[in-house]
Amino acid sequence: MSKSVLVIGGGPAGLAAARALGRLGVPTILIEKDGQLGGNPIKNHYHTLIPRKLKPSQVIGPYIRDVEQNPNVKVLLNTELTACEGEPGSYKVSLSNGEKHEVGAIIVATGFEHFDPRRKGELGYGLYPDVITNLELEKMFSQEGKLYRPSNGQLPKRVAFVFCVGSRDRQLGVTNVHCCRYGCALSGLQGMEIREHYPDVDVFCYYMDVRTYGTWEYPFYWAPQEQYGVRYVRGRIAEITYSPADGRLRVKHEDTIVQRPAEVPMDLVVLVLGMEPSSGTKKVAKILGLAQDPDSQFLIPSEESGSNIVSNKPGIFIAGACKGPIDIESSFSEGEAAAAEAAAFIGAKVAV
Amino acid sequence: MDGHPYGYNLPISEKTKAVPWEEKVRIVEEVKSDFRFKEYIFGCLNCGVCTASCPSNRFFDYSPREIVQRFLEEDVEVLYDMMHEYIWACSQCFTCWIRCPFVNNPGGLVAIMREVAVRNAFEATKDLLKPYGRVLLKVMTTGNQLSADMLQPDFFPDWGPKMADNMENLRAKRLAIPFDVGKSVKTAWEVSLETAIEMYTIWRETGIFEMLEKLDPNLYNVIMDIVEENEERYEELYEEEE
Repeated sequence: MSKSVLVIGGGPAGLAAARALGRLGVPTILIEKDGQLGGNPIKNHYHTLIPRKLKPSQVIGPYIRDVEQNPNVKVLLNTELTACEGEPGSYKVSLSNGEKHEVGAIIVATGFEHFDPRRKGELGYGLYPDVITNLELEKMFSQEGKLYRPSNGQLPKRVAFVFCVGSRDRQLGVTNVHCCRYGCALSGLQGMEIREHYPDVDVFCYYMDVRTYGTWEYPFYWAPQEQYGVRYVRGRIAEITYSPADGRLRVKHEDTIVQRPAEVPMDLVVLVLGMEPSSGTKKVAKILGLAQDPDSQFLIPSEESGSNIVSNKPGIFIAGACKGPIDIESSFSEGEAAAAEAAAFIGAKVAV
Repeated sequence: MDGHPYGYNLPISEKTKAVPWEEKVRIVEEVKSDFRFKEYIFGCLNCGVCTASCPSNRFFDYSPREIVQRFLEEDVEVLYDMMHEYIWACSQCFTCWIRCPFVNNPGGLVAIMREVAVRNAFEATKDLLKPYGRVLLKVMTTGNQLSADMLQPDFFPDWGPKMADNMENLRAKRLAIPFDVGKSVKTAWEVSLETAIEMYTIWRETGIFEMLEKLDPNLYNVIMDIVEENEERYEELYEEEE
Protein backbone atom coordinates (compact mmCIF):
# COMPACT_ATOMS: atom_id res chain seq x y z
CA MET A 1 0.00 0.00 0.00
CA SER A 2 1.34 3.33 -1.15
CA LYS A 3 1.24 6.01 1.52
CA SER A 4 0.64 8.96 -0.76
CA VAL A 5 -2.55 10.52 -2.13
CA LEU A 6 -3.29 12.11 -5.50
CA VAL A 7 -5.68 15.07 -5.48
CA ILE A 8 -7.12 15.97 -8.89
CA GLY A 9 -8.20 19.59 -9.18
CA GLY A 10 -6.91 22.76 -7.53
CA GLY A 11 -10.25 24.46 -6.83
CA PRO A 12 -11.80 24.88 -3.38
CA ALA A 13 -12.47 21.15 -2.78
CA GLY A 14 -9.06 20.01 -4.05
CA LEU A 15 -7.21 22.73 -2.15
CA ALA A 16 -9.03 21.84 1.07
CA ALA A 17 -8.25 18.14 0.60
CA ALA A 18 -4.57 18.80 -0.16
CA ARG A 19 -4.21 21.21 2.74
CA ALA A 20 -5.77 18.79 5.21
CA LEU A 21 -3.64 15.88 3.96
CA GLY A 22 -0.50 18.01 4.12
CA ARG A 23 -1.28 18.99 7.68
CA LEU A 24 -1.85 15.34 8.59
CA GLY A 25 1.61 14.60 7.21
CA VAL A 26 0.41 12.57 4.24
CA PRO A 27 2.56 12.91 1.09
CA THR A 28 0.20 14.48 -1.42
CA ILE A 29 0.34 15.32 -5.11
CA LEU A 30 -2.07 18.06 -6.21
CA ILE A 31 -2.57 18.33 -9.94
CA GLU A 32 -4.36 21.24 -11.62
CA LYS A 33 -4.94 21.54 -15.34
CA ASP A 34 -4.82 25.36 -15.32
CA GLY A 35 -1.77 27.49 -14.69
CA GLN A 36 -2.95 28.63 -11.25
CA LEU A 37 -4.64 27.31 -8.14
CA GLY A 38 -8.03 28.45 -6.88
CA GLY A 39 -10.44 27.03 -9.44
CA ASN A 40 -13.37 28.92 -10.91
CA PRO A 41 -13.53 31.69 -8.25
CA ILE A 42 -9.93 32.76 -8.96
CA LYS A 43 -9.90 32.03 -12.68
CA ASN A 44 -13.13 33.93 -13.28
CA HIS A 45 -12.30 36.83 -10.94
CA TYR A 46 -15.24 36.45 -8.57
CA HIS A 47 -15.82 39.66 -6.65
CA THR A 48 -17.60 38.74 -3.41
CA LEU A 49 -18.41 35.24 -2.22
CA ILE A 50 -21.64 34.03 -0.71
CA PRO A 51 -22.50 33.54 2.10
CA ARG A 52 -19.96 35.46 4.20
CA LYS A 53 -19.47 38.27 1.69
CA LEU A 54 -15.70 37.86 1.78
CA LYS A 55 -13.30 38.31 -1.13
CA PRO A 56 -11.86 35.20 -2.84
CA SER A 57 -8.43 36.25 -1.61
CA GLN A 58 -9.74 36.15 1.97
CA VAL A 59 -11.41 32.76 1.64
CA ILE A 60 -9.34 30.84 -0.90
CA GLY A 61 -6.08 32.75 -0.36
CA PRO A 62 -5.18 31.01 2.92
CA TYR A 63 -5.77 27.58 1.38
CA ILE A 64 -3.54 28.36 -1.61
CA ARG A 65 -0.81 29.75 0.65
CA ASP A 66 -0.88 26.78 3.01
CA VAL A 67 -0.85 24.26 0.18
CA GLU A 68 2.05 25.97 -1.54
CA GLN A 69 4.03 26.21 1.69
CA ASN A 70 3.41 22.71 3.00
CA PRO A 71 6.41 20.45 2.22
CA ASN A 72 4.14 17.37 2.13
CA VAL A 73 2.17 18.75 -0.83
CA LYS A 74 3.65 18.68 -4.30
CA VAL A 75 1.70 21.04 -6.58
CA LEU A 76 1.77 20.31 -10.31
CA LEU A 77 0.15 23.02 -12.45
CA ASN A 78 -0.86 22.57 -16.11
CA THR A 79 -1.10 18.87 -15.39
CA GLU A 80 -3.88 16.38 -16.02
CA LEU A 81 -4.47 12.72 -15.27
CA THR A 82 -4.04 10.66 -18.44
CA ALA A 83 -4.28 7.07 -17.23
CA CYS A 84 -4.72 4.97 -14.12
CA GLU A 85 -3.89 1.32 -13.55
CA GLY A 86 -3.39 -0.95 -10.57
CA GLU A 87 -5.34 -1.90 -7.50
CA PRO A 88 -6.96 0.07 -4.71
CA GLY A 89 -4.12 1.01 -2.38
CA SER A 90 -1.60 1.10 -5.19
CA TYR A 91 -2.99 3.02 -8.10
CA LYS A 92 -0.39 3.69 -10.80
CA VAL A 93 -1.27 7.04 -12.29
CA SER A 94 0.14 8.66 -15.42
CA LEU A 95 0.15 12.42 -15.72
CA SER A 96 0.20 14.67 -18.77
CA ASN A 97 3.67 15.94 -17.83
CA GLY A 98 5.03 12.42 -18.32
CA GLU A 99 5.39 11.62 -14.62
CA LYS A 100 4.13 8.33 -13.22
CA HIS A 101 3.32 7.85 -9.57
CA GLU A 102 2.02 5.12 -7.32
CA VAL A 103 -0.62 6.41 -4.92
CA GLY A 104 -2.66 4.77 -2.20
CA ALA A 105 -5.78 6.83 -2.78
CA ILE A 106 -7.19 9.42 -5.14
CA ILE A 107 -9.39 12.41 -4.39
CA VAL A 108 -11.34 13.69 -7.37
CA ALA A 109 -12.20 17.38 -7.14
CA THR A 110 -12.55 18.25 -10.79
CA GLY A 111 -15.43 20.66 -10.38
CA PHE A 112 -17.91 22.24 -12.74
CA GLU A 113 -18.18 24.56 -15.70
CA HIS A 114 -20.62 27.41 -16.17
CA PHE A 115 -23.38 26.94 -18.71
CA ASP A 116 -22.73 28.52 -22.12
CA PRO A 117 -25.72 30.89 -22.58
CA ARG A 118 -25.31 30.89 -26.37
CA ARG A 119 -27.22 27.63 -26.19
CA LYS A 120 -30.32 29.64 -25.21
CA GLY A 121 -30.54 31.67 -28.40
CA GLU A 122 -33.75 33.44 -27.42
CA LEU A 123 -31.88 35.27 -24.66
CA GLY A 124 -29.70 37.11 -27.13
CA TYR A 125 -26.35 36.52 -25.46
CA GLY A 126 -23.56 37.13 -27.95
CA LEU A 127 -26.00 39.08 -30.09
CA TYR A 128 -26.72 42.10 -27.89
CA PRO A 129 -23.70 43.48 -26.02
CA ASP A 130 -25.82 44.54 -23.05
CA VAL A 131 -26.83 40.97 -22.33
CA ILE A 132 -24.05 39.75 -20.04
CA THR A 133 -23.51 36.81 -17.70
CA ASN A 134 -23.32 37.01 -13.93
CA LEU A 135 -19.67 35.98 -14.31
CA GLU A 136 -19.04 39.03 -16.47
CA LEU A 137 -20.78 41.20 -13.88
CA GLU A 138 -18.52 39.78 -11.15
CA LYS A 139 -15.52 40.56 -13.33
CA MET A 140 -16.85 44.06 -13.99
CA PHE A 141 -17.00 44.64 -10.23
CA SER A 142 -13.69 43.00 -9.38
CA GLN A 143 -11.53 44.11 -12.30
CA GLU A 144 -13.01 47.44 -13.34
CA GLY A 145 -14.78 48.52 -10.18
CA LYS A 146 -17.75 50.02 -11.96
CA LEU A 147 -21.08 49.14 -13.50
CA TYR A 148 -21.64 50.02 -17.14
CA ARG A 149 -23.40 48.98 -20.32
CA PRO A 150 -20.92 47.30 -22.67
CA SER A 151 -22.67 48.89 -25.66
CA ASN A 152 -21.89 52.48 -24.68
CA GLY A 153 -20.00 52.52 -21.41
CA GLN A 154 -22.83 54.38 -19.66
CA LEU A 155 -24.37 53.57 -16.31
CA PRO A 156 -27.55 51.50 -16.87
CA LYS A 157 -30.82 52.84 -15.46
CA ARG A 158 -32.54 49.47 -15.29
CA VAL A 159 -30.84 46.14 -14.68
CA ALA A 160 -32.54 42.74 -14.93
CA PHE A 161 -31.31 39.44 -13.53
CA VAL A 162 -32.58 36.42 -15.46
CA PHE A 163 -32.58 33.39 -13.17
CA CYS A 164 -32.12 29.74 -14.14
CA VAL A 165 -30.26 30.16 -17.45
CA GLY A 166 -29.14 26.62 -18.23
CA SER A 167 -30.77 25.28 -15.08
CA ARG A 168 -34.10 23.55 -14.56
CA ASP A 169 -34.60 23.39 -18.28
CA ARG A 170 -35.49 20.21 -20.12
CA GLN A 171 -35.37 22.02 -23.44
CA LEU A 172 -31.59 21.59 -23.18
CA GLY A 173 -32.05 17.88 -22.60
CA VAL A 174 -32.00 15.79 -19.45
CA THR A 175 -28.53 17.18 -18.67
CA ASN A 176 -29.76 20.54 -17.40
CA VAL A 177 -32.75 19.77 -15.23
CA HIS A 178 -30.91 20.37 -11.94
CA CYS A 179 -30.90 23.62 -9.95
CA CYS A 180 -27.64 25.60 -9.76
CA ARG A 181 -28.11 26.32 -6.03
CA TYR A 182 -25.98 29.50 -5.97
CA GLY A 183 -27.79 31.67 -8.55
CA CYS A 184 -30.58 33.10 -6.41
CA ALA A 185 -28.25 34.04 -3.58
CA LEU A 186 -25.56 35.51 -5.81
CA SER A 187 -28.13 37.57 -7.70
CA GLY A 188 -29.46 38.95 -4.43
CA LEU A 189 -25.90 39.85 -3.46
CA GLN A 190 -25.09 41.41 -6.83
CA GLY A 191 -28.38 43.32 -6.75
CA MET A 192 -27.50 44.70 -3.32
CA GLU A 193 -24.03 45.67 -4.49
CA ILE A 194 -25.50 47.58 -7.43
CA ARG A 195 -28.09 49.34 -5.26
CA GLU A 196 -25.51 50.18 -2.62
CA HIS A 197 -23.18 51.93 -5.06
CA TYR A 198 -25.78 53.22 -7.51
CA PRO A 199 -29.01 53.89 -5.60
CA ASP A 200 -30.67 55.32 -8.73
CA VAL A 201 -30.31 52.10 -10.70
CA ASP A 202 -33.44 49.96 -10.65
CA VAL A 203 -32.72 46.26 -10.21
CA PHE A 204 -35.22 43.52 -11.13
CA CYS A 205 -34.89 39.82 -10.48
CA TYR A 206 -36.98 37.51 -12.69
CA TYR A 207 -37.44 34.18 -10.98
CA MET A 208 -39.45 30.96 -11.06
CA ASP A 209 -38.94 30.54 -7.36
CA VAL A 210 -36.22 31.86 -5.10
CA ARG A 211 -34.03 29.15 -3.59
CA THR A 212 -31.94 30.93 -0.99
CA TYR A 213 -32.02 27.84 1.13
CA GLY A 214 -31.17 27.53 4.83
CA THR A 215 -29.65 30.57 6.46
CA TRP A 216 -29.31 32.35 3.13
CA GLU A 217 -32.97 33.39 3.13
CA TYR A 218 -32.62 36.65 5.01
CA PRO A 219 -29.26 37.93 3.74
CA PHE A 220 -29.83 37.10 0.08
CA TYR A 221 -33.60 37.32 -0.42
CA TRP A 222 -35.23 39.44 2.21
CA ALA A 223 -32.43 41.95 2.69
CA PRO A 224 -32.14 42.76 -1.04
CA GLN A 225 -35.84 43.69 -0.96
CA GLU A 226 -36.16 45.25 2.49
CA GLN A 227 -32.88 47.06 2.71
CA TYR A 228 -31.86 47.70 -0.87
CA GLY A 229 -35.09 47.88 -2.86
CA VAL A 230 -34.25 45.11 -5.30
CA ARG A 231 -37.51 44.10 -7.03
CA TYR A 232 -38.54 40.52 -7.54
CA VAL A 233 -40.89 39.63 -10.39
CA ARG A 234 -42.20 36.11 -10.73
CA GLY A 235 -41.90 34.77 -14.25
CA ARG A 236 -39.28 33.16 -16.40
CA ILE A 237 -37.90 35.36 -19.18
CA ALA A 238 -39.20 34.05 -22.51
CA GLU A 239 -36.99 36.09 -24.77
CA ILE A 240 -34.79 39.16 -24.94
CA THR A 241 -34.94 41.51 -27.88
CA TYR A 242 -33.50 44.88 -28.74
CA SER A 243 -35.25 48.05 -29.80
CA PRO A 244 -33.23 50.24 -32.16
CA ALA A 245 -35.68 53.07 -31.40
CA ASP A 246 -34.27 53.66 -27.94
CA GLY A 247 -31.21 51.40 -27.99
CA ARG A 248 -32.52 49.42 -25.02
CA LEU A 249 -33.22 45.76 -24.51
CA ARG A 250 -36.70 44.33 -24.03
CA VAL A 251 -37.33 41.44 -21.71
CA LYS A 252 -40.48 39.48 -22.36
CA HIS A 253 -42.17 37.50 -19.65
CA GLU A 254 -45.43 36.82 -17.93
CA ASP A 255 -45.78 38.13 -14.41
CA THR A 256 -47.38 34.94 -13.19
CA ILE A 257 -48.45 36.36 -9.85
CA VAL A 258 -50.45 39.30 -11.12
CA GLN A 259 -51.26 37.39 -14.34
CA ARG A 260 -49.96 39.92 -16.77
CA PRO A 261 -47.81 39.45 -19.86
CA ALA A 262 -45.17 42.15 -20.14
CA GLU A 263 -42.35 43.37 -22.30
CA VAL A 264 -40.23 45.85 -20.39
CA PRO A 265 -37.21 47.96 -21.34
CA MET A 266 -33.87 47.19 -19.70
CA ASP A 267 -30.41 48.66 -20.12
CA LEU A 268 -28.42 45.73 -18.84
CA VAL A 269 -29.53 42.10 -18.57
CA VAL A 270 -27.56 39.68 -16.43
CA LEU A 271 -27.95 35.96 -17.16
CA VAL A 272 -27.61 33.79 -14.06
CA LEU A 273 -25.69 30.79 -15.32
CA GLY A 274 -26.25 27.18 -14.37
CA MET A 275 -23.57 24.63 -13.56
CA GLU A 276 -22.52 21.62 -15.59
CA PRO A 277 -19.89 18.99 -14.85
CA SER A 278 -16.53 20.22 -16.15
CA SER A 279 -14.87 18.54 -19.10
CA GLY A 280 -12.23 17.42 -16.58
CA THR A 281 -14.88 15.74 -14.45
CA LYS A 282 -16.22 13.78 -17.42
CA LYS A 283 -12.71 12.84 -18.53
CA VAL A 284 -11.55 11.71 -15.08
CA ALA A 285 -14.79 9.76 -14.57
CA LYS A 286 -13.97 7.80 -17.70
CA ILE A 287 -10.33 7.17 -16.78
CA LEU A 288 -11.15 6.06 -13.24
CA GLY A 289 -14.45 4.34 -14.03
CA LEU A 290 -16.48 6.48 -11.66
CA ALA A 291 -20.25 6.30 -11.51
CA GLN A 292 -22.04 9.24 -13.06
CA ASP A 293 -25.61 10.42 -12.90
CA PRO A 294 -27.10 9.24 -16.19
CA ASP A 295 -28.82 12.57 -16.77
CA SER A 296 -26.58 15.35 -15.50
CA GLN A 297 -23.28 13.38 -15.80
CA PHE A 298 -22.19 14.60 -12.36
CA LEU A 299 -20.35 12.02 -10.24
CA ILE A 300 -22.38 10.04 -7.74
CA PRO A 301 -21.18 8.44 -4.51
CA SER A 302 -21.39 4.74 -3.78
CA GLU A 303 -24.71 3.60 -2.38
CA GLU A 304 -23.21 0.97 -0.05
CA SER A 305 -21.04 3.34 1.96
CA GLY A 306 -23.80 5.78 2.86
CA SER A 307 -21.19 8.48 2.56
CA ASN A 308 -21.40 11.41 0.22
CA ILE A 309 -17.62 11.34 -0.35
CA VAL A 310 -16.90 7.67 -1.09
CA SER A 311 -17.02 6.78 -4.78
CA ASN A 312 -17.94 3.44 -6.33
CA LYS A 313 -14.19 2.66 -6.62
CA PRO A 314 -12.38 1.71 -3.40
CA GLY A 315 -9.75 4.27 -2.52
CA ILE A 316 -11.21 6.96 -4.76
CA PHE A 317 -13.07 9.81 -3.09
CA ILE A 318 -15.13 12.54 -4.70
CA ALA A 319 -15.57 16.06 -3.38
CA GLY A 320 -17.04 19.40 -4.41
CA ALA A 321 -18.78 20.51 -7.59
CA CYS A 322 -17.86 17.40 -9.60
CA LYS A 323 -20.87 15.85 -7.82
CA GLY A 324 -23.29 18.66 -8.56
CA PRO A 325 -23.82 22.34 -7.85
CA ILE A 326 -22.40 23.33 -4.48
CA ASP A 327 -21.28 26.48 -2.73
CA ILE A 328 -17.61 27.23 -2.09
CA GLU A 329 -17.66 26.73 1.66
CA SER A 330 -19.35 23.34 1.38
CA SER A 331 -16.74 22.41 -1.21
CA PHE A 332 -14.03 23.13 1.36
CA SER A 333 -15.81 20.92 3.87
CA GLU A 334 -16.15 18.09 1.39
CA GLY A 335 -12.48 18.35 0.44
CA GLU A 336 -11.54 18.13 4.10
CA ALA A 337 -13.87 15.17 4.64
CA ALA A 338 -12.37 13.42 1.61
CA ALA A 339 -8.88 13.99 3.04
CA ALA A 340 -9.90 12.28 6.27
CA GLU A 341 -11.39 9.35 4.34
CA ALA A 342 -8.29 9.04 2.13
CA ALA A 343 -5.93 9.17 5.11
CA ALA A 344 -7.95 6.46 6.83
CA PHE A 345 -8.00 4.35 3.68
CA ILE A 346 -4.22 4.30 3.27
CA GLY A 347 -3.79 3.73 6.99
CA ALA A 348 -1.67 6.83 7.35
CA LYS A 349 0.01 7.39 10.68
CA VAL A 350 -0.96 10.98 11.03
CA ALA A 351 1.24 13.65 12.53
CA VAL A 352 -0.17 14.85 15.84
CA MET B 1 -65.32 36.11 -12.04
CA ASP B 2 -67.75 33.39 -11.15
CA GLY B 3 -65.65 31.47 -8.68
CA HIS B 4 -62.47 31.75 -10.71
CA PRO B 5 -60.37 34.29 -8.90
CA TYR B 6 -57.53 34.43 -11.41
CA GLY B 7 -56.44 33.51 -14.87
CA TYR B 8 -59.40 32.13 -16.72
CA ASN B 9 -61.38 35.28 -16.37
CA LEU B 10 -64.29 34.38 -18.58
CA PRO B 11 -67.35 33.49 -16.57
CA ILE B 12 -68.43 29.90 -17.04
CA SER B 13 -71.11 30.05 -19.68
CA GLU B 14 -74.71 29.24 -18.88
CA LYS B 15 -74.55 26.53 -21.53
CA THR B 16 -71.67 24.80 -19.78
CA LYS B 17 -73.46 25.06 -16.44
CA ALA B 18 -76.54 23.42 -17.93
CA VAL B 19 -74.59 20.40 -19.18
CA PRO B 20 -74.77 17.43 -16.77
CA TRP B 21 -71.59 16.92 -14.75
CA GLU B 22 -71.13 13.36 -16.03
CA GLU B 23 -71.10 14.61 -19.62
CA LYS B 24 -68.41 17.19 -18.84
CA VAL B 25 -66.33 14.51 -17.14
CA ARG B 26 -66.78 12.23 -20.15
CA ILE B 27 -65.52 14.93 -22.53
CA VAL B 28 -62.48 15.79 -20.41
CA GLU B 29 -61.71 12.08 -19.98
CA GLU B 30 -61.87 11.68 -23.75
CA VAL B 31 -59.18 14.34 -24.05
CA LYS B 32 -57.06 12.73 -21.34
CA SER B 33 -57.32 9.27 -22.82
CA ASP B 34 -55.82 10.40 -26.13
CA PHE B 35 -52.56 8.57 -26.72
CA ARG B 36 -50.67 11.85 -27.05
CA PHE B 37 -51.87 13.31 -23.78
CA LYS B 38 -49.14 11.77 -21.58
CA GLU B 39 -46.44 13.11 -23.88
CA TYR B 40 -47.84 16.60 -23.84
CA ILE B 41 -48.03 17.31 -20.12
CA PHE B 42 -45.51 16.61 -17.37
CA GLY B 43 -45.35 19.14 -14.55
CA CYS B 44 -45.60 22.90 -14.34
CA LEU B 45 -43.72 25.52 -12.37
CA ASN B 46 -46.03 28.30 -13.46
CA CYS B 47 -43.01 30.09 -14.90
CA GLY B 48 -45.06 31.74 -17.63
CA VAL B 49 -42.60 31.20 -20.48
CA CYS B 50 -45.34 29.67 -22.64
CA THR B 51 -47.75 32.55 -22.17
CA ALA B 52 -45.04 35.17 -22.55
CA SER B 53 -44.00 33.53 -25.84
CA CYS B 54 -47.54 33.06 -27.10
CA PRO B 55 -48.52 35.23 -30.08
CA SER B 56 -52.23 34.65 -29.46
CA ASN B 57 -51.84 35.81 -25.88
CA ARG B 58 -51.00 39.28 -27.19
CA PHE B 59 -54.35 39.63 -28.91
CA PHE B 60 -56.80 37.32 -27.20
CA ASP B 61 -57.87 36.19 -23.80
CA TYR B 62 -55.85 33.01 -24.16
CA SER B 63 -52.98 31.65 -22.07
CA PRO B 64 -51.25 28.30 -22.69
CA ARG B 65 -50.21 28.20 -19.03
CA GLU B 66 -53.87 28.27 -18.13
CA ILE B 67 -54.49 25.16 -20.25
CA VAL B 68 -51.71 23.21 -18.52
CA GLN B 69 -52.74 24.39 -15.05
CA ARG B 70 -56.38 23.47 -15.57
CA PHE B 71 -55.41 19.97 -16.63
CA LEU B 72 -53.12 19.57 -13.63
CA GLU B 73 -55.92 20.82 -11.38
CA GLU B 74 -58.40 18.59 -13.23
CA ASP B 75 -60.78 21.51 -13.41
CA VAL B 76 -63.46 19.78 -15.46
CA GLU B 77 -65.87 22.70 -15.52
CA VAL B 78 -63.32 25.17 -16.88
CA LEU B 79 -61.78 22.70 -19.34
CA TYR B 80 -65.18 21.90 -20.77
CA ASP B 81 -66.01 25.58 -21.03
CA MET B 82 -62.64 26.37 -22.65
CA MET B 83 -63.41 23.94 -25.47
CA HIS B 84 -66.21 26.17 -26.74
CA GLU B 85 -64.31 29.35 -27.36
CA TYR B 86 -61.09 29.81 -25.39
CA ILE B 87 -58.95 27.15 -27.07
CA TRP B 88 -59.84 28.34 -30.56
CA ALA B 89 -57.67 31.43 -30.09
CA CYS B 90 -54.54 29.27 -30.20
CA SER B 91 -52.72 29.65 -33.52
CA GLN B 92 -51.03 26.22 -33.21
CA CYS B 93 -47.53 27.67 -33.63
CA PHE B 94 -46.18 25.51 -30.75
CA THR B 95 -43.78 28.17 -29.48
CA CYS B 96 -45.06 27.22 -26.00
CA TRP B 97 -43.79 23.70 -26.63
CA ILE B 98 -40.29 24.68 -27.76
CA ARG B 99 -39.85 27.07 -24.83
CA CYS B 100 -41.39 25.19 -21.88
CA PRO B 101 -38.69 24.06 -19.41
CA PHE B 102 -40.71 20.89 -18.77
CA VAL B 103 -41.30 20.40 -22.51
CA ASN B 104 -45.04 20.48 -21.95
CA ASN B 105 -47.01 21.00 -25.13
CA PRO B 106 -49.99 23.28 -24.42
CA GLY B 107 -50.57 23.72 -28.17
CA GLY B 108 -50.74 19.94 -28.49
CA LEU B 109 -53.27 19.75 -25.65
CA VAL B 110 -55.34 22.32 -27.52
CA ALA B 111 -55.12 20.20 -30.67
CA ILE B 112 -56.52 17.20 -28.78
CA MET B 113 -59.25 19.33 -27.19
CA ARG B 114 -60.24 20.63 -30.62
CA GLU B 115 -60.44 17.15 -32.05
CA VAL B 116 -62.63 16.02 -29.18
CA ALA B 117 -64.82 19.10 -29.61
CA VAL B 118 -65.24 18.33 -33.32
CA ARG B 119 -65.87 14.62 -32.72
CA ASN B 120 -68.56 15.50 -30.24
CA ALA B 121 -70.10 18.07 -32.56
CA PHE B 122 -69.86 21.00 -30.18
CA GLU B 123 -72.03 23.86 -31.35
CA ALA B 124 -68.97 26.11 -31.18
CA THR B 125 -67.06 24.01 -33.66
CA LYS B 126 -69.92 24.27 -36.13
CA ASP B 127 -69.85 28.04 -35.88
CA LEU B 128 -66.09 28.17 -36.06
CA LEU B 129 -65.91 25.96 -39.14
CA LYS B 130 -68.62 27.79 -41.06
CA PRO B 131 -66.31 30.36 -42.71
CA TYR B 132 -64.07 27.51 -43.83
CA GLY B 133 -66.75 25.58 -45.74
CA ARG B 134 -65.24 26.45 -49.12
CA VAL B 135 -61.75 25.51 -48.01
CA LEU B 136 -63.03 22.29 -46.48
CA LEU B 137 -64.82 21.41 -49.70
CA LYS B 138 -61.63 21.89 -51.71
CA VAL B 139 -59.38 20.04 -49.29
CA MET B 140 -61.66 17.06 -48.85
CA THR B 141 -62.47 16.59 -52.53
CA THR B 142 -59.21 17.59 -54.21
CA GLY B 143 -56.56 17.84 -51.50
CA ASN B 144 -56.03 21.43 -52.55
CA GLN B 145 -56.51 24.08 -49.94
CA LEU B 146 -56.98 27.00 -52.29
CA SER B 147 -57.65 27.38 -55.96
CA ALA B 148 -57.88 30.25 -58.39
CA ASP B 149 -61.67 30.21 -58.52
CA MET B 150 -61.86 30.77 -54.77
CA LEU B 151 -60.47 34.26 -55.19
CA GLN B 152 -63.62 36.25 -55.60
CA PRO B 153 -63.72 40.03 -55.38
CA ASP B 154 -66.28 40.30 -52.60
CA PHE B 155 -64.41 37.78 -50.45
CA PHE B 156 -61.31 39.89 -50.03
CA PRO B 157 -62.35 43.54 -49.93
CA ASP B 158 -59.18 44.35 -47.99
CA TRP B 159 -57.07 43.36 -51.00
CA GLY B 160 -58.10 46.58 -52.75
CA PRO B 161 -60.13 47.54 -55.83
CA LYS B 162 -57.62 46.05 -58.31
CA MET B 163 -58.50 42.56 -57.18
CA ALA B 164 -61.86 42.66 -58.97
CA ASP B 165 -60.07 43.12 -62.31
CA ASN B 166 -57.65 40.33 -61.51
CA MET B 167 -60.52 37.93 -61.03
CA GLU B 168 -61.78 38.39 -64.60
CA ASN B 169 -60.92 35.86 -67.26
CA LEU B 170 -59.23 33.62 -64.72
CA ARG B 171 -59.05 30.68 -67.06
CA ALA B 172 -57.22 32.66 -69.76
CA LYS B 173 -54.82 34.05 -67.20
CA ARG B 174 -54.08 30.62 -65.82
CA LEU B 175 -53.41 29.27 -69.30
CA ALA B 176 -51.00 32.16 -69.92
CA ILE B 177 -48.77 31.11 -67.02
CA PRO B 178 -45.60 29.89 -68.78
CA PHE B 179 -45.15 26.75 -66.69
CA ASP B 180 -47.39 23.85 -65.88
CA VAL B 181 -49.85 24.60 -63.09
CA GLY B 182 -52.45 22.16 -64.28
CA LYS B 183 -54.12 24.88 -66.32
CA SER B 184 -57.12 24.55 -64.07
CA VAL B 185 -59.02 27.18 -62.14
CA LYS B 186 -60.66 24.64 -59.88
CA THR B 187 -57.46 23.36 -58.32
CA ALA B 188 -54.06 24.86 -57.62
CA TRP B 189 -52.37 21.83 -59.13
CA GLU B 190 -53.63 18.74 -60.86
CA VAL B 191 -54.80 15.89 -58.64
CA SER B 192 -54.95 12.47 -60.22
CA LEU B 193 -58.05 10.37 -59.69
CA GLU B 194 -55.93 7.69 -57.98
CA THR B 195 -54.65 10.24 -55.48
CA ALA B 196 -58.14 11.50 -54.80
CA ILE B 197 -59.43 7.97 -54.22
CA GLU B 198 -56.60 7.24 -51.79
CA MET B 199 -57.42 10.43 -49.95
CA TYR B 200 -61.12 9.51 -49.67
CA THR B 201 -60.08 6.15 -48.29
CA ILE B 202 -58.12 7.94 -45.57
CA TRP B 203 -61.08 10.20 -44.76
CA ARG B 204 -63.33 7.19 -44.55
CA GLU B 205 -61.00 4.98 -42.48
CA THR B 206 -60.13 7.73 -39.98
CA GLY B 207 -63.71 8.79 -39.42
CA ILE B 208 -63.33 12.22 -40.98
CA PHE B 209 -66.49 11.81 -43.08
CA GLU B 210 -68.48 10.83 -40.00
CA MET B 211 -67.11 13.81 -38.14
CA LEU B 212 -68.13 16.12 -40.96
CA GLU B 213 -71.60 14.61 -41.19
CA LYS B 214 -72.23 15.59 -37.59
CA LEU B 215 -70.75 19.05 -37.99
CA ASP B 216 -72.26 20.20 -41.25
CA PRO B 217 -74.74 17.81 -42.95
CA ASN B 218 -75.19 20.10 -45.97
CA LEU B 219 -71.48 20.36 -46.68
CA TYR B 220 -71.22 16.63 -46.07
CA ASN B 221 -73.82 15.95 -48.75
CA VAL B 222 -72.12 18.23 -51.28
CA ILE B 223 -68.74 16.60 -50.61
CA MET B 224 -70.14 13.08 -50.70
CA ASP B 225 -71.74 13.75 -54.10
CA ILE B 226 -68.34 14.63 -55.53
CA VAL B 227 -66.62 11.77 -53.72
CA GLU B 228 -69.13 9.22 -54.96
CA GLU B 229 -68.97 10.58 -58.48
CA ASN B 230 -65.18 10.25 -58.49
CA GLU B 231 -65.36 6.79 -56.99
CA GLU B 232 -67.77 5.71 -59.71
CA ARG B 233 -65.45 7.10 -62.37
CA TYR B 234 -62.59 5.21 -60.82
CA GLU B 235 -64.59 1.99 -60.72
CA GLU B 236 -65.44 2.35 -64.40
CA LEU B 237 -61.82 2.98 -65.34
CA TYR B 238 -60.74 0.01 -63.27
CA GLU B 239 -63.29 -2.26 -64.95
CA GLU B 240 -62.25 -1.06 -68.41
CA GLU B 241 -58.63 -1.91 -67.65
CA GLU B 242 -59.62 -5.38 -66.56
